[in-house]
Amino acid sequence: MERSLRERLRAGEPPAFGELFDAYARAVYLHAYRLTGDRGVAEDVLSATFLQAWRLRERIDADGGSPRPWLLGIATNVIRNLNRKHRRERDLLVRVAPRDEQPDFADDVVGRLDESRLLAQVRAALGHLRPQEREVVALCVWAELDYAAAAQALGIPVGTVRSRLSRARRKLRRVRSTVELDAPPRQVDSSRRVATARPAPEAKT
Amino acid sequence: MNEIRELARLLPDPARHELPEGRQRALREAVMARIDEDRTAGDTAVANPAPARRRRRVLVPSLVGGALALVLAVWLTSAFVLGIGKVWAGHTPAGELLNRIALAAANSDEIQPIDQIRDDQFVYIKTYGAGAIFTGTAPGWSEGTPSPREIWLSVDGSAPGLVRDAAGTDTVLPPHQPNINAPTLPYLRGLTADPDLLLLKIYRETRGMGQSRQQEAFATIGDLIREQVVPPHLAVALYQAAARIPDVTVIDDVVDALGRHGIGIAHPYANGAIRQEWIFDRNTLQYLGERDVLTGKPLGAPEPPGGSFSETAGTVIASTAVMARAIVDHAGDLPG
Repeated sequence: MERSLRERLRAGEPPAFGELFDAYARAVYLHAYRLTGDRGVAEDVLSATFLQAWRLRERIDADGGSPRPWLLGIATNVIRNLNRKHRRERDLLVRVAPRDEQPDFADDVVGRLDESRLLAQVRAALGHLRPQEREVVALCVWAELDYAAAAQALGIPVGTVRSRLSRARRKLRRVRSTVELDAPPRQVDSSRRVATARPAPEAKT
Repeated sequence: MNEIRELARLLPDPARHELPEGRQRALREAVMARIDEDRTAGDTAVANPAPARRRRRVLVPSLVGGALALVLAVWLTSAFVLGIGKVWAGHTPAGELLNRIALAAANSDEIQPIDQIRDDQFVYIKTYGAGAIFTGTAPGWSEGTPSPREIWLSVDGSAPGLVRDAAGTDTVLPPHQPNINAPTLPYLRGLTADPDLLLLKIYRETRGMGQSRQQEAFATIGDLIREQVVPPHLAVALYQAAARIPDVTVIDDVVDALGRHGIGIAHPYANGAIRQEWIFDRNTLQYLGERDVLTGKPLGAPEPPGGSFSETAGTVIASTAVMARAIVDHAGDLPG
């Protein structure tokens, strides 16, 4: 009988971590990008998260659901502590390949400009939220974890997730009049998004 | 889930791109190589050579590094012939202060004589403070809640180290090959005491890291003097090397995380948005700690709602004070 991914991760088998990386690198990277707004930082968070996962492998439950909430929880923690201090541990954790300066996503300059404008707007709105509220928004709204999974990721009760979300909603409603977001509403469903295929939203004045 | 739908409308997902495939591959390789290294270090406490595969990989960079060192050496030599080195090395207020700090370090008796420390012992350092927390919104960083932290580092790096946070949670630091960013006492003993060559080595070993080589060198020296035991002759060289880094300045009154006032040696970071400061006792010139302060220049984050970056000038976003430094026999032992 084939052993589960979780069992092999727990046993510290490197190929299992390779599989984990292939399956969840994208989710972790996007989560980090949404919270930090910086591609380079998001890459650092990505590698640090998987190295941390390796270090924490013994805490993986042999049976359990998708490792995604667990990884996003680690990533959230890495982001909270994205500092230059305690570099000794950070150096033990992160050693990222040098960044190449190749343009990403097919030289889509328009798309890129569009994204950076949207990012600036979203981040201005995020400025009204406390860090803990931002984290639950990123996990529940953008990474589409359910309340229980977000609670598990952050190590907090489900009720706390819920109350942080409603606080975030109340605050954002209040600033809605001052912050105009250009972007079309995004579908919340379980289907996978194809981010680059999105048409450029029209600019409002 | 109505709430989620409304939030999704209020805050559309800002990520409209994917991690490029090539980057993902490179990152995967880096992560897997690191895991591999970790396993090797964890599996074998014996001094076995690195796998041939890895050795081959470092050969090419070291050749490039050698060539770079040569170029730098020629450049530095000519700089010194022209007298530029002198300007850096002590003829600025920061240089003069650093030379005095170096002198004090040479006579420091903070810990037992360095040559009586055994390889199987541990360096114990207790600090108090908080790191900067990346908030993602302006001013971009804020200071965490200050707390004590204890670290035990294997003197020769062959045994696992330990970090204990305020909650008493232990993190094991796996054994590792010493390098300039994670040095051991034997490694530090082997470093040159010539400040010019030392700075050159730091520049070379941290190539590609940080935002500029000067900033990375300043941070590297700062990390070294904060959480390690440094042989006095090397401490002298490190401070003299710091005196040669451009843009180092003196800050007159700086308060450390324990409220102790001192004099600061500072260097700009993040395009001048953050000032990294080392703090020294004004009289004894002993190292007290370090902190990071916002200068009021914009940082890579949007302006705060209804405010501006200039208002954040002087905000401390990270601060660490050294409380104790000692040598103990086992990881987890407290100095007696």
